[in-house]
Amino acid sequence: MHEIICMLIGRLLLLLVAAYELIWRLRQRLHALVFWSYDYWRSTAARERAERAVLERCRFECTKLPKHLVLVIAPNEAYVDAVLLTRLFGFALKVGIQHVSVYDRREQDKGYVDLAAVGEMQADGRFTWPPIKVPKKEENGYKLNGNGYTNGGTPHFEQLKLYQIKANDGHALIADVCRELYQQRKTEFVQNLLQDQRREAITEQISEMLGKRLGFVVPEPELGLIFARQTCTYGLLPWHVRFTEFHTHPSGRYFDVHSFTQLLYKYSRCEQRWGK
Amino acid sequence: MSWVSEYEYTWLERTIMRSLRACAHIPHHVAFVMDGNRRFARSQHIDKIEGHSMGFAKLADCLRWCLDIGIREVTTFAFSIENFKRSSEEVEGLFNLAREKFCKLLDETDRLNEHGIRIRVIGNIELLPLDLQKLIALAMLRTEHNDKLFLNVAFSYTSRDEITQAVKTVLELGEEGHLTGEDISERLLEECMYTRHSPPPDLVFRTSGESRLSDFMMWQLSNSVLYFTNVLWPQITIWNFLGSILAFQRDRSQINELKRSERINASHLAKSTNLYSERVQGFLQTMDTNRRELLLKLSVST
Repeated sequence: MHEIICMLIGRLLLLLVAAYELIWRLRQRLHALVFWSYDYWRSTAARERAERAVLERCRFECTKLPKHLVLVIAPNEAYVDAVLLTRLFGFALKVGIQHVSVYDRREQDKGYVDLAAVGEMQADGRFTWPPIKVPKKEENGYKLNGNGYTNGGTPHFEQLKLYQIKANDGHALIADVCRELYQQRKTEFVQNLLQDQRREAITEQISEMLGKRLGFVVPEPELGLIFARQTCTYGLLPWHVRFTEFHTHPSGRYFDVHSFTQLLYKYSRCEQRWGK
Repeated sequence: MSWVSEYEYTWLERTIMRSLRACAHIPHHVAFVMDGNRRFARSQHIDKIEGHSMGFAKLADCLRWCLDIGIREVTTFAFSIENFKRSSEEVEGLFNLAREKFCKLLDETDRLNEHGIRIRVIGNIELLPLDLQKLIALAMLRTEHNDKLFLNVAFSYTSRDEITQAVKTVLELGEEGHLTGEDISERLLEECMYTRHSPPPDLVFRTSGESRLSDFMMWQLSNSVLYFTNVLWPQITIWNFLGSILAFQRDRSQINELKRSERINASHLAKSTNLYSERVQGFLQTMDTNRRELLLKLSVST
């Protein structure tokens, strides 16, 4: 008898959770519709002005900001597209974040965003954003050098560095590094690495080889934003995100400048103790 | 304080626990990051070590809850290699606490055997004091035949060190095991991890409001549900625990499809990289033998 009562209570509990989830989702969509409509009806200039003010205040109030932000997009996420990512890149650039990595676990036909379509590809395979159209010298007299300054000193284009992380950049890349070291196992270099009892030399070597393969010349991501219904890393770079702060933006919730700054405030408040 | 507490459930707690167990999926493997002992000690104006001791008492409660709800494997993050950076006084205090708890464990081996609990310590135990290494080795060897609940204690552990250890094992033993470059894949590395005999965690539970993983099981938790809560570890109650189980039951369906496809990919990869070949299995067997021999050597050291 007690078992049957427990079974009934369990079903009721799950039903309540499902009902709560449904109401919560409807509320999120309604909230999204209201905010989307508000953004739609006011002019772009007014929206950008308001966003800039919020971002400037955030930049001023936060005691620390990440240099490298990683975005994780769940395989079944339906609300993240190139437009949203572009807005997010804009926010990141305005608060002074320098690097953004995108880890999109969706299939090509299910909303996957290719950074090649959003940013500007560089010679080393990385992307920058926003893409800059270099003015022709004969048109207006500008001549840009490598860092975005003209010979005359203006203008200066700030760009975000973007990295597209793929599913096989995780475990498979570490296996790839291991394979390469194994092929060189008889060399003096690898034999010396193996002598270190604390494994520090070999750890450094793996980090260096992974960095080269990923094209990373940046710090490990300090902050991660997961677009999903639940918090999960989906296999994101197991070597690099060990100290990354993860926050989840629930699927269906409207993402605007306030969502972004809230994330930065949370990051700014957290204390990283590094084991101490 | 015993490793598995004699927690007394109220009628309501027992009923809800049975209800969750009766009608939905229970995670097979749960990993706990027991964070917040020191903050709790500060808030209560007690010594840090007292906070850690109260944290251990809570772990004993947690193990009881896991055992009763039907979780088969628990991994806890007890001491990170990064924690060696703390003051020598605190590190020594933690080692003394570990000594006390492992001695207690050895005293109550019969009780652990009765519950079928197997203790496995994962991490670079060679960094620890020799007497502690011996206690750990004895605890692992004395419970190695139990198979009802697996308790993995991550001690002197970081995930990066674990991955490095796996790579180093391949480099050191590969030649002897006649491994070829084509045999090396993420499946082989997975088999070289400390957690070789465990499935990946279904649920990772972290207390104290931190939302990072602090270099804990980074390789294994690719498809785990992550559950972060603001409560400090010594303050955790059965309701926090049941809340995490409910969250897992709510979220698992979202991840199941991905898990299934990853399992299929892993199985294809295992076949294409000869994981089941006599040569690779021989290599893994040598690795297991070496690990057991190390434990035997430590257990008889003076």
